[in-house]
Amino acid sequence: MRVVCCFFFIVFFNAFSFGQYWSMGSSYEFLYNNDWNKATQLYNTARPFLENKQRLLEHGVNLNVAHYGKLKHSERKFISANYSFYEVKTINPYLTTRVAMHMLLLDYNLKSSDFWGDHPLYFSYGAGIRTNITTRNILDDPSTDEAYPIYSGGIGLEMNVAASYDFKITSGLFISPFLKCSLSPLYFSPTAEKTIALTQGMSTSKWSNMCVFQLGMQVSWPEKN
Amino acid sequence: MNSRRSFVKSIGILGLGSFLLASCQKLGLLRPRKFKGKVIVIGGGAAGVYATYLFKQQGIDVILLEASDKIGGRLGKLLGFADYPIDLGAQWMHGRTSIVGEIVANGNVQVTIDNTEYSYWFQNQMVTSLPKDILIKDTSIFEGEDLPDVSFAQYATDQGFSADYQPIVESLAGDYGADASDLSVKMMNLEELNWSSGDDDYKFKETYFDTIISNFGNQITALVKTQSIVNKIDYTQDQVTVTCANGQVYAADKVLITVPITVLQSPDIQFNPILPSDKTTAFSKIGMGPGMKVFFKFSSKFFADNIYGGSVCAAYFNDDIGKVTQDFILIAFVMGHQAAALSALPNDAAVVSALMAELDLMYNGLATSNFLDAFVQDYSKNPFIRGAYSYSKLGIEETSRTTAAKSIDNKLFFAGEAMNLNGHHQTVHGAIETGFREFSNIMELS
Repeated sequence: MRVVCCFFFIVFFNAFSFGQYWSMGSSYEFLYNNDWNKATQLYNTARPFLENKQRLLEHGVNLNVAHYGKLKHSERKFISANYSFYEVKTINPYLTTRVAMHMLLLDYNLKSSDFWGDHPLYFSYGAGIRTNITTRNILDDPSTDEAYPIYSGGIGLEMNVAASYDFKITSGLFISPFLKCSLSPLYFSPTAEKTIALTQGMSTSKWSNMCVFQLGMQVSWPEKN
Repeated sequence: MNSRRSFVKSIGILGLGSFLLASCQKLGLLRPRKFKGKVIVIGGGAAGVYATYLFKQQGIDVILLEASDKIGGRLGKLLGFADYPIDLGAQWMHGRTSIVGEIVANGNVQVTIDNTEYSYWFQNQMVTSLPKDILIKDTSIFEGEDLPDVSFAQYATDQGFSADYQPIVESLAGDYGADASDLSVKMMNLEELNWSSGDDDYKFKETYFDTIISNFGNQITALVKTQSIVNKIDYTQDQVTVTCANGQVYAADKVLITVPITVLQSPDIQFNPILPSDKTTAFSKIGMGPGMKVFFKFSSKFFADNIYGGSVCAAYFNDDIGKVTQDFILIAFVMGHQAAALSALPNDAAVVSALMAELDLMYNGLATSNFLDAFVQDYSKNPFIRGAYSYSKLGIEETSRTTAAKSIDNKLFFAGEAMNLNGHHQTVHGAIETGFREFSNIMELS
């Protein structure tokens, strides 16, 4: 833990000491996680009596903030912090279930423009650490005195690639649509199957790969000196 | 130099992006169906009924062979004894975070939390607390981490509980369907670590039987063949052949066996070839003792809601919780050696007499003066059940249930409460989970 803290302290110190730009953005996210999807399928298959099936947990929103370093060898280093939220509600006449996932991502990236010459089209790539917490509970059940939501925690690494295009609005103010893909091997406890399908040992391991695709917009502005 | 580095970088980026895109497939909301053959389900308890219902929903050619004259297994219903239908078998839903919890919620089935207080017959007195706590809120001294591999009885003695507490210990072990001298503290806890369905116990306004068996059983009526006592299973060929005592022979690609563990431990079903020795050893390590429920109808409620500590019957429960009734029904919940002793009596009247004597002792003759009727349900004497439910017997290994539940040659599959690997054995929802598990395992085979 101490090593991890030291690593992030160095990364932050590096980024903030030599920072030049801030950016904030939001995006639509598409999540693909085979284990979570399989758990949802198991849940639905085990319950033919449910008129409305539970949908896959795959559409979410993201808020992010990033801090960019100085341009050096056609590259800028930046760190970004991301919060994402996913939710699926399944409404049946007497049974409404809700699955919600909150994700935090902190990553360290390099933004490069040299391949495309003077065009403001950028590629970036980076890595970081991703955590999430997923809750599943039954809503609006008057006979349920026991509050028994299930919580599942996940933690793991993240690797990402992204492309963005900077539109200059004013001097130093940019709007940048971006597309980002990331892959995260995550350790979940309890497993997706136990959280979603309420069974164990049928489908999912504790390690699970999560792919996230983002399409969004960022606003960047220079740091005041 | 810069552009070569950038080119390599870009290729890497595009490669990772392509991998991410390629790894994503369009998925439906249900598990894909691969299996298209025929299935025989043996045993019409909760696991068998629910599995058959699932196979039917998927359009699979399936039949259910039930040895007795009706489905339900250890779920049953008694009409006419009281002014409400009585659950003869399982009657508590243990937690709501399960398939059964969602069946109940989705069906708007009325349930009530049973959080009634305990009374103890201790040193020939009815008391509401014990000098030394053996039950602390909802947990007992037998629950915790890193407990030794000894019996409940031994552990209580080791913790300084005198012989006076032995009937109380028996009643706590009886909740698990076992004798205190045969229930492993360590394994009970290890298996319960996986428990995830919730801690409250619920009783049904109607019956558990109706919620599961009437509800799903009604949807598979045409597929059920009752009085089909399976005595031979031949899995030497591609198709498995199942022979019944009535001479009927059935063949299928897969056979799902959901009979109680006591039947698997007996030679009643002959397997050809014989089952692997690790499997029969695993069967033998799972405990399932005698079990009996005796229902008493009284003219007034002179009894406590939960009485622990009887020497003839370690636990009595008020059955009225959650019911709309004018009747006063007390259940004697008899397990282990106490059930064996009562079961050995010559008839039901003798069983009722023995229990009434104990109740009279506890309540100064009020049992006799308020007695209206009694009904004995002895699961030990049911030839297709032979006991209460499975428990973690001393000597059971962590892998015993896994080995017992493992399929053989992708032809024979095993379900039922004893085969639950999620800590939900002994329960109806645990049985249903195994029915679904094996349904799912079969459906994934091509």
